[in-house]
Amino acid sequence: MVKEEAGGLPDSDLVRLAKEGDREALDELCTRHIASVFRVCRGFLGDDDEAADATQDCFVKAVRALPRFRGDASFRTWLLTIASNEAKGVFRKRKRRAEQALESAGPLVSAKPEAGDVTALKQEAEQARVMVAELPDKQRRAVTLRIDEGLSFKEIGEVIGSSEGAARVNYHHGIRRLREMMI
Amino acid sequence: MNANGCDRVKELLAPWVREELSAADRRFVEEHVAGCEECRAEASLVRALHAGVPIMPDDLTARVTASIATTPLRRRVWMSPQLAAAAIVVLALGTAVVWRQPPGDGNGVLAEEPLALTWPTDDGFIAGVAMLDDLSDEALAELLEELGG
Ligand SMILES: [Zn+2]
Repeated sequence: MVKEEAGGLPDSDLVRLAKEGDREALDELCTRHIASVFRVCRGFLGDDDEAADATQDCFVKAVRALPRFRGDASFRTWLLTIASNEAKGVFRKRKRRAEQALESAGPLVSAKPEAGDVTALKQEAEQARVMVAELPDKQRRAVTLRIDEGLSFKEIGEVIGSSEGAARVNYHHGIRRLREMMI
Repeated sequence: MNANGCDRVKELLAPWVREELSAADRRFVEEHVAGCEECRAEASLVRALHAGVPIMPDDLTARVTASIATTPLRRRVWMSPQLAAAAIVVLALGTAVVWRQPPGDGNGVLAEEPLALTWPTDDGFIAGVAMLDDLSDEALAELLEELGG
């Protein structure tokens, strides 16, 4: 579900240009996808600074690996796979405690509350994001890739290394577990 | 899908909260949620999760574009069987620089850029060969397959 910017070249053209050494194409790919990469890393790490570092490392690795990107998956899916693996590596190394995610919870966006109880929704949102950190790896990634990035289950499967069906199951199990935890 | 459409609604909650649904699907979800306590609870959770989506720091794009501006854009490299064998030995034994050899040139003229660096990392893993730890699982598998062939 890649949304192309109006008037911009599609990712596939930018990737081809970047492979030929076009730095502007590379910058455009970065600008287009950096927020998604950041959110994937942030979802894993629960910390803005760590997520920013992981985002930077992800892009450096993606640039280095670009000659080997063949376009079987979309560039976005491929990039988010690298981001996901990068964040997972950092997460494992630092063995962060869940409460740190709470302490460093970022600002909230687009709450769209019905009646205007922003505070209650903010608290609920913070609690929900902290609970996400408690989910098993594939459930956590399926939930955040679906809700934060709008990926299809097929694309989620490509990122987490599973079938479309397993990605769907991981998402629904994750949501069910979150509901149990939020009660 | 169950008779009441709960399964279908639950599939649509993420695109619903992201405002990506068609008008018809959106109406379907909202009418269902209004009358179904189970789906209303799930919609509430999905909305809360979406409300907590993290925001990227303003300066990150500039920082990352500056960082990749100095990252070499490598071209896909051809690897001779001899070079592949050398890379495997290097992987097994330790640190080395493997130089790129242009295709069709069997005389071993060294290219300007190293193909790969390898070294053992602190935790005992091997880093390098087009930066092994830089590669996705798929790309790594591809590289190893190439080395093996
Ligand atoms: Zn229902």
